[in-house]
Amino acid sequence: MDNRYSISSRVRIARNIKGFPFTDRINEADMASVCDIVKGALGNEYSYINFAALSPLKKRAYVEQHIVSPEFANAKNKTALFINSDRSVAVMVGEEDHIRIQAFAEGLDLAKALKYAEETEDVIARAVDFMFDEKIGYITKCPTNIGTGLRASVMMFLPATVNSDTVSAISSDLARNGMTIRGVYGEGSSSFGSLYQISNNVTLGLSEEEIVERVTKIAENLAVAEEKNENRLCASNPDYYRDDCMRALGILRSAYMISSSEAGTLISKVMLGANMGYVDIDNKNNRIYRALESVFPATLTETAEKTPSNDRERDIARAESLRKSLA
Amino acid sequence: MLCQKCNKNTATFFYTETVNGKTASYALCDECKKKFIGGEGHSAADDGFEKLYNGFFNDSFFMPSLFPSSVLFGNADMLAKASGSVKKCPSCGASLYELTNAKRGFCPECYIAFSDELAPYFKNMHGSYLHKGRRPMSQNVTKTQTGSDNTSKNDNSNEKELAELREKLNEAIQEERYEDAAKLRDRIRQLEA
Repeated sequence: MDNRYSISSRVRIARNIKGFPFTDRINEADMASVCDIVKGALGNEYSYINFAALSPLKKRAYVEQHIVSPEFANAKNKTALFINSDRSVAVMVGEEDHIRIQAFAEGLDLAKALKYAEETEDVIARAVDFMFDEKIGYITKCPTNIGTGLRASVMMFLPATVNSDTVSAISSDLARNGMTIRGVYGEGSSSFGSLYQISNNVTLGLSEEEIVERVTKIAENLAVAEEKNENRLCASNPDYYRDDCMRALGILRSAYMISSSEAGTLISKVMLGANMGYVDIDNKNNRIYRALESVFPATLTETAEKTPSNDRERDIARAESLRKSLA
Repeated sequence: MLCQKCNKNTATFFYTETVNGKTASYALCDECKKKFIGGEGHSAADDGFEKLYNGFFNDSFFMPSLFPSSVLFGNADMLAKASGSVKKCPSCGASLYELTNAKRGFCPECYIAFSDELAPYFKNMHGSYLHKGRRPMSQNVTKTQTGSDNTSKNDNSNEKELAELREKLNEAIQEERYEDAAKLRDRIRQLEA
């Protein structure tokens, strides 16, 4: 499958356990019980992280890796995180809903992510009864998630298709199909690194498979458009784009200090150039994007050999990491 | 054209949305636009389309216009107001108005207590109000209840008729035959009682 434009797929299932209040009105003891119930249900195949007890830095690193949501990192309740061995499934307990199962797959493969998520759901369901109603399906704290409780999303690299001029038109087009597009990093129209997330809004009245099919279809259409637009864009001034990409790679491979925003901009240029064949760089499993993901501030601070203590040291550590991963 | 909200000022903001094949148009004056959608210079592109988009759903003002003959929703609310007894969720005390206008969050019981009244709200939000897809593996699920299990083994013919009626109700709402929908809803309630 052509994964040049679809970086990763993610499926999230929201569930609540019958007999407990929602997380906004739950008391400490009940929330702890919910964590324990899920822990008991998931057993040893998932490693348990007492998320509430982590340092703010560690929490933020999980957010940067998209393993947990920012809401989860900021939750006031007791929170628990469960991750399976290959990190394809993460279960957040104590986010907006009692349980949020997230499953990930490389490239555009929502069906695989859905399969992982549903397998994990089945494991939990053996031990608990979820809130469910014959008419409106699985009951969630927010009515926007009711029914399947399913959010299927694809992270896409769309530098030539989505920009501040086109985002509003694309947004309304997608909204008509019950979908949303948003910048993966940053808010609103301009997205850092030209990375966007396509996901469904509608969770009720469509089956899980139908939702996944629809989001997949939209992602496929966007990928076709992006390929066309990249070709057109670069054909308008091939020397310029080739030079832009080669320079970007040159900086990434030789800089001594680099900020995350500069790294994001340069990585985006290299990704575009790699798609166009301007540079000979292996981009298997979206290696170029992964290089970016590992140099966000909290992640970098967490993983660096010598913990950087200020921005300057972080910029030095970031440049070092990028030099290695893009060598 | 006058503003649909205040009926005083001239409308300067026009918005048409098509959600799941249904088109609705709004005309607002500057003040009402600011009040209900956001300040000046607020375009969808500036502020994330989602915010604007969701804003329409959460706003009571848009609800009546989306359901011009909303037997299921508007009348029930108006009747309740007229008789002086606004229906509340037995568990948390929230009213339908508070829930559908984001004044209060739902509790699990709210969904059950306002099961019928929420149908058009869900229809507006999701294009449907009937679940399709996964169900719990265990068979101890009972309809529209969270606590007692006394109806878990209802007789099958009732279940079948209910399923058919719900399907018909769905069709009636989709085709905007609200009088029929009200009758079907009453019949469903009878069977469920």
